[in-house]
Amino acid sequence: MRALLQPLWRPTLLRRVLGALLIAFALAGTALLALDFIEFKRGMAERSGVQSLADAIASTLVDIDNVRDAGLIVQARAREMTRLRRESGVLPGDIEFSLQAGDGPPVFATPGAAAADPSTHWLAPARAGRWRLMLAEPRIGDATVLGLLGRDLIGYLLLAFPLVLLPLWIAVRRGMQPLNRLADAVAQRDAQDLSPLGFTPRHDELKPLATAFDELLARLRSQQQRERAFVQDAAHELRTPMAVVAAQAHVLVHAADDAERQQAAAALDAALQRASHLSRQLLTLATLDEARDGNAEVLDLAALVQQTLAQAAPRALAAGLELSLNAAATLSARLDRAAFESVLLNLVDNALRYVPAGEQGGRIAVTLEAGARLVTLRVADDGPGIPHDQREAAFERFWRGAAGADAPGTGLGLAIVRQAAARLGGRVRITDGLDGRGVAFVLELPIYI
Amino acid sequence: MHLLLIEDDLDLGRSLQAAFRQQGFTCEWLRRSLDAPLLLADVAAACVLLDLGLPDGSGFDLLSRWRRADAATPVIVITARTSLEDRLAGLDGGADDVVLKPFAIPELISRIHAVVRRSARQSHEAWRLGDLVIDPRGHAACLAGQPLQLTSREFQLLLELAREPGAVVAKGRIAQRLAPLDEPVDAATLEMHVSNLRKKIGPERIRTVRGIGYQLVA
Repeated sequence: MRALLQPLWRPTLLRRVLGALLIAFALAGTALLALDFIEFKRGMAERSGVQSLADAIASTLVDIDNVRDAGLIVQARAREMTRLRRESGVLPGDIEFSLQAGDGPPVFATPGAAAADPSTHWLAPARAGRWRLMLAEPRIGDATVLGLLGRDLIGYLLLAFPLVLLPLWIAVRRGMQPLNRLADAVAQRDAQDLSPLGFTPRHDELKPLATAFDELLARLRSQQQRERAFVQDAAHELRTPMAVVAAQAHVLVHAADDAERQQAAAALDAALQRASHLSRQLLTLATLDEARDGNAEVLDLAALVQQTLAQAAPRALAAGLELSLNAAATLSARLDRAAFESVLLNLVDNALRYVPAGEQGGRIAVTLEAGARLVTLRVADDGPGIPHDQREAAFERFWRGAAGADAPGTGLGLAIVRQAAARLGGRVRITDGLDGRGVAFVLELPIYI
Repeated sequence: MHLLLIEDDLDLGRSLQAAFRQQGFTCEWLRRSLDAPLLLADVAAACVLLDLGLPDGSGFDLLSRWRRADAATPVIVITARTSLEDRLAGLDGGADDVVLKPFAIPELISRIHAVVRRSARQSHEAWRLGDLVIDPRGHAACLAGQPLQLTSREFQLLLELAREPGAVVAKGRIAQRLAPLDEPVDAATLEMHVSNLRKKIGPERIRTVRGIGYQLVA
């Protein structure tokens, strides 16, 4: 049963309009009733209907001198009034009449006239010459008055209601049509189609909806473009390493002797490492590209940096580079560990790749400092550096330096660094390196504890 | 057969060179378009492999420069750009074939043989010049169905002449092509090879244009 009635109670705009209209009519009815009632009360206070009647009858008696005639006239009027009143059946009881000549005994009186007094009746006395006429109409309670007044009003209201409802209903139905058209336009879209709806509603109320929808589409479009560009770039960049793998595998299979076979196997191994390094970097970047919702945890950054650099130290030693760390003993901060490690690893990895070991050069200096509001990680070297005009472009995906083609690398390291810095809520910039040479990357992170 | 490879990627260049060596090709490898020869006619190679994504300029520019000079040496474009537009741009820009990375080495070798064969106006894997049949892949030749016993140099010489059918190939050019990575073969040695080849395939098949070069007659 409830399930059956449920659809009736589902909120719809049309039902809402109907409800509002009902309430409006109820309010209007009540107000009109109150107005009528006040009007009635005032009329009764000033000059009631029964008083007018008494005055009218009295005026017909002015010229009459005969007692019997006067009595008959009043009697006739009393009969007529009683009949009319009873026929209409609206008002309860009869109007009582009594006629006196001067202060004498009643010339004519209806049976209840003697008992009529102001507590039960409205009394309407009237004088005409020597005649004293007294009409007494039974008092009726306020509730009865309201009922009577209401009965009149409700008829008008019932007539007016459908006449108001019909045009309103049509207006609402027609007003909904653009909304339905908008819904159709959205529903008929291809899932891949993110072009603007191009829907210009005639009604101002719908414009914010159409605009908001187009803006959402625009945001989705640019996001999709970025993702497509990334996938295309990634596919493009993976092709060369895969071609190397294919070529080296072929060379290995067709190797004529052991020496050639060994050489080919080593080359194939290197090719696979290159391809897998690139895949890992791409994966890291794709992961960082996702929504900025890292797993922040409270970390001792000083210890983390120390451990990470310890892993890189053997490579530095093997390459004859001097790797150093300058940091406080402990430095607590709340941040995403993986993103921070990505920044540090990629910056140190870049330095290890590009800084040549020299007689007095070949230094990589890492510093970690905590200021009032920022944690600063600085990786500086005295290597070949990056020209000023290329420093912004260096963060682009697949950017390779001038020496890029010769040094093994994916061109993704700095893109990862920038993305990871953004995820950490900080930023990374390039400045000059050690002793005015080389390059320094400075990561600045706001402190969240 | 001699190839010219223009490819900036160090690893890919090395591995291709190793693969070509196994196939018995000689290969000159350049990494910048700057180093590429101005004219394709100067290239001793039977085929050029050109990577489009060079760091110092697009391979397209190189290709259009060569094609303006109307050189016939076949060019195979190697590219990581896989879109239809890029592939069409390669072919319309004058490439004889487009190979997408990553590629299988046997496919690349087959395509090299195919474009060289087409530039020699041959329709079959075994090149035919009258009753002379040359098999470039098998390094063998037959005359009237009888296998010829040719030295490596003689076969190379025959192939170089056959690559430009009907043309008079200048002596200097042949001398360079016989030793693409070294000093050109000296004139006396070249004449000796030509005379030895004549003995094996018939003297009337190689016509001498005195002081200029040689022509292979079908």
